[in-house]
Amino acid sequence: MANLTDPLAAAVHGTNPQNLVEYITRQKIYDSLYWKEECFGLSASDVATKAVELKALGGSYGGNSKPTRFLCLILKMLQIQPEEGIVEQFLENEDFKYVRALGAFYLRLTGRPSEIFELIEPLFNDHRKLRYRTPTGWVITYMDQLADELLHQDRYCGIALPHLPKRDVLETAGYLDGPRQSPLAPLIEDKAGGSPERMLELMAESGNEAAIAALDERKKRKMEAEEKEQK
Amino acid sequence: MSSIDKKHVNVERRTWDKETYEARARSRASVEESGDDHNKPKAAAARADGPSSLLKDELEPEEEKEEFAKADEGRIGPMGSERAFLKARSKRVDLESKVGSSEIIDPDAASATRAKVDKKDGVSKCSDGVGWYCKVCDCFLKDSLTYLDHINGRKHQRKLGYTMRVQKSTTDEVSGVLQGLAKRKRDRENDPDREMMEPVDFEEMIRNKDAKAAARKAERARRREERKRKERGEIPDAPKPAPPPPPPEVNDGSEEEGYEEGGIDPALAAMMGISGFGSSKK
Repeated sequence: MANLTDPLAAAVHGTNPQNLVEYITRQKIYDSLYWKEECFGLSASDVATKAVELKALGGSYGGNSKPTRFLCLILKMLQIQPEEGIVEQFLENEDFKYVRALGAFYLRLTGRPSEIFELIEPLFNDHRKLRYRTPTGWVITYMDQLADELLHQDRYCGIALPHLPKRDVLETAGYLDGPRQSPLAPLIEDKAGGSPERMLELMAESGNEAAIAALDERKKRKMEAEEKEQK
Repeated sequence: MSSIDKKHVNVERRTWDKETYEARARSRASVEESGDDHNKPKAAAARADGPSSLLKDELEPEEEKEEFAKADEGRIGPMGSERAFLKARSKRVDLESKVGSSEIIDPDAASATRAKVDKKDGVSKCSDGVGWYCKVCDCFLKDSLTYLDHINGRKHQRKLGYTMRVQKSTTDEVSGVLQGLAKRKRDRENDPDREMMEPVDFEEMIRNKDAKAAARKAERARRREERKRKERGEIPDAPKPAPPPPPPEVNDGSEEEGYEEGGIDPALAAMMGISGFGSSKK
């Protein structure tokens, strides 16, 4: 039938991949016009074509809990289970931000923890705006905010995210190579010889307000710590 | 007997389009000779009344809808299956073309789920049902959603020669598709023929919209005035009722219209002796 998972698809997190979406939401998607008209018989490349036309993220909205097209495409991907290479293609695509968001969300639902961290952390460098449709209206969010929410929250777009172990747990277990590499690291190396405090001081000298505020904060905290020790 | 004076008698004798009926008779004859022919284009066939509508449908066979198109012979399919891989439709399904139109139907037709294909004089007769008709499975569907469910369903797809399984795409295919779309987007942006849009001035947009709304209200008020003037002209004896005050800017124009068309102006009504619902008793 049209809504069955591909028979060759592997189980994800122990169940049918489509079960990652709750039953009620899933039924709403199956009953929606977009799913029946346009998401019928899509293969992964067709999903890519539809994803390019996406204009918003979101879960269900409105009094009727109507699913967004984003959610329909997520369920479609869960149904056809594209291979890892395809998901990476979606994620690394810089031309279309909603395609990227779709890939990130799908990866978060189905990927292994080390993969999730490795592939979603680069999204922290993407600062583009995204439209998010809440149940009652619209909100602007950003790609790096999306990455943060995917890595640290339980639910997104109305779907409960599978459990993701903490980063340091994965590091000690050896699945990840070390703490997150900030893209500022080479810059700090260059200008301040690898010391973040020195970098802050340089920025404060050049008039950066945030840096000045941050330095003041640090001084205050140091003073408080010293007072505590004296007592 | 002058039938021209009486209103309800047919003034003219009924005429028929001989050529079309001749053509039909000929085709009927040829069908009888060649035996059964199920593949006649769908026609709202032998209805006793309304020959004109009947002819129109016969002469304009239905175009091939994509949802009824059979799979090509050589199309690949999954291992171990003789059917082709499922593919997505490229055109939108026609759900809305008949919205707002009216049709006369048989009362039996409303509950028909199958087209009764009777052989009458060698012409296949398709009894009307209501709603969308699937000619592949010979069924009527009353609802756009059930119609979509049907054409997406296993039975229908199997009849067309498709299996329900979709072909797996490879990474290279997807990468190619994405690159193609990116290139198209870039071409559209760099197209030298594209008109450069002026930077949007929101204040101006709002001012334009307000001006248009005000113009529409003025139009409506003017038309109302004209209509009232016409009414006054037709009833010269009735006293001219005072025109309603000009609508303030805040008021919704529809309120005035409702008030007007709903009842007779009270002053006029009093004059005519209709004094409202109150009684003279206290």
